[in-house]
Amino acid sequence: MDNTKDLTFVLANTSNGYVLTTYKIGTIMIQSNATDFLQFMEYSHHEDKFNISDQQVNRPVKGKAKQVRDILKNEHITCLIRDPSQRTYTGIVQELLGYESIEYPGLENLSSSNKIINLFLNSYFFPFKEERRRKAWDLDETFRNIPESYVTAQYGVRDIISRWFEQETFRLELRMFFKEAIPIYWHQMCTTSHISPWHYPLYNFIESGHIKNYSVKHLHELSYKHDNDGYRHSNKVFIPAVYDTFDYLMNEGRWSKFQDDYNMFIQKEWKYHNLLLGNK
Amino acid sequence: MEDFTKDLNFVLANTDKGYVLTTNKIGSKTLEDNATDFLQFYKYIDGTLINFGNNTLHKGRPGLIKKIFDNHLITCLLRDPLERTITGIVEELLVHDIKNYPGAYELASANPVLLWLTERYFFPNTTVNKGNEVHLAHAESHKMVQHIVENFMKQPIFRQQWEKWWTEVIPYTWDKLKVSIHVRKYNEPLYHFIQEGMIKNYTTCLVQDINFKHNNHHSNWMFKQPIRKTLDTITQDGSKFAKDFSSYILEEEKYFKHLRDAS
Repeated sequence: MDNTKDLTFVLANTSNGYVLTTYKIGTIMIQSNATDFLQFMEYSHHEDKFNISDQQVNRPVKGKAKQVRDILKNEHITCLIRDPSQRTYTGIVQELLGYESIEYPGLENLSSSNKIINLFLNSYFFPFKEERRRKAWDLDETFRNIPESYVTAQYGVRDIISRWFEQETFRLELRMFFKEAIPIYWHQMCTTSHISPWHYPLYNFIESGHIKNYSVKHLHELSYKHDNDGYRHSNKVFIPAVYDTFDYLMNEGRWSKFQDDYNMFIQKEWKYHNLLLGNK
Repeated sequence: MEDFTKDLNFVLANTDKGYVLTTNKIGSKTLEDNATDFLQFYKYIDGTLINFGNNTLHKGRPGLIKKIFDNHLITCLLRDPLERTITGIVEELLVHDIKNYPGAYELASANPVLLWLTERYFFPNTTVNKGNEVHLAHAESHKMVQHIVENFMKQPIFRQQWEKWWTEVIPYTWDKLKVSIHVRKYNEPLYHFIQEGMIKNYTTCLVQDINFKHNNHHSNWMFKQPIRKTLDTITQDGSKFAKDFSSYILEEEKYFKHLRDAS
C-alpha cells in the first residue's frame, strides 16, 4: 500500500491564526504558542481519514480532535514549510544524536563513534533517553524528582559543552561519525517523522481539497511570543558537521548508492516545496 | 646504543629542611617554591658537572656546589620508580613534550576529544607562552572548568578511553620515553654518583615524607590509574616492550633499594 501521501501534522490556533506544521515544529514552537486549539493528527490518504496521532500521548492538546476537518474547511490556515535540506539535516541530528537514536541498533558501536562525545550527548543534551522512551512525553514526571539545583547546574554544564561542540576537533569527530552512520541508517531514517517527506504529502493534501483557504509560509516569517533557540531547534551546534558530511557524501566524484537514494528523496521534496511556494 | 646509565640530571637547593637533591620534575615545582638561598640545575655527564636551566629561577652561585657537597648533609629525595615512571609518562605524552613524539596523537586509539580536553583544561600553558598576562577572571573560570573536566575524568568511559590509548602509545613511544628527562633512570645514576664520592655526607628520603612549607605535588593523579592498569596488562605478554620495560623497572628498583638501605 502506498502511504507516501499520508500526512502527519500538527494543527494549532495561535496569535497568528491557525497554523498547520510538522510534528517537530509543532511539538516545540507551536505547542508553546497555542491558544485554544492544538491537535496532533495523522491523515490517511488511502482511507481519507483523520486519526489522532500515536505520538500525541501525554501532549497538552487543546480543543477537540473532531473539529480538525471543520477548521480546515472553514478557517484560514497558514501551512508552514521548511527548506527541505535544512529540515533533513536537523532531522538527522535528532534521529542520530537525540532521543530517537535509541532506535538505531549498533549506532554507538560504529568504529567512528566517539565515546566521549556520546557521554556528553547522552548526559547533557539528550538525557534520560530510556526514561523518555518509556514515559513517552511526560516530562513533568521524568523531571519531578530531580532537585532544581541539579537541573540548573546541568544547564550550566550543558552551556559549556555546547561551546566545546563549536570547536573544530568536535566538529571533525562528529563528521567522521556522520560519514559512517548516515549511509548505513538512511533507509530507516528517511521513514521517520523528522525526515520523511513533508512537502509532497502536504501538496497532495491541499490538492485533494482538504484546506479551502490557506497560505504557505516559512516559520521565520511568523513572529511569536515564545520564540528563541529554546523553542526552535537546539541542534544548531551540530549542524555544521552535517553540512561537512554532505559535502563529502554527495561529492559527484564519489558515487554511492546513498547518493542516488538521497538525490531522489531531496529533489522530490524540493520540487513540492517550490510548487507549494508557487501556489501561494 | 649510547649508555645513559651514569648520566644524572638533578636539582640542588637549600630549603628549610637543609640541602636537598632531587629530580628536575620535583625540583622545578616543589623545590622552586621552597628554596631559600640556593637553587641550581645540573647535569652530570662523563664525570663533568654542567650547570643549566632557567636563570630567572636560580639562586646562589652554581660554582658553590663542590663546597656544598663537601661540607653539608645532602638529603637525596627518592621516588618509587614505577610511580615516577607513570607521572613521567604523563608529563612526556600529555604536557609540554608531546612535540617530541610525532604520530602519538594520530594513533587509531587516540581520542581527539579527550586529548583536546586534556590539553586545554589541564595543561593550558602548552599553548600560552610563559610570562603572558592572564586575567584573574579568566584564571578563575579556568579553575571552574578544570574542576568540571576533572569530574568527567572520573567517569569509567574516560578511563577506558585512556587505557585504550596508553595500551598503544606507550609501547609505540617507549624507546624515546625511556631516555627522556622525565622517565630516564634516576636511581641508578644517583647511586653511581654517590659511589664515586661526589657527595660526602648524605641521607635519602621519599618525596612524600619530607614536609615542605609549600607542598606542590603532581596534578597528574587522575591519569595514574589508567596508566598503572595499562602497564599491568601490557607487561605480561612477553613482547619486546614488556621485556624492556620490566628490565628497566627492575634495575631502577634495585638501585632505589640500595639507596634506601645505604642511608
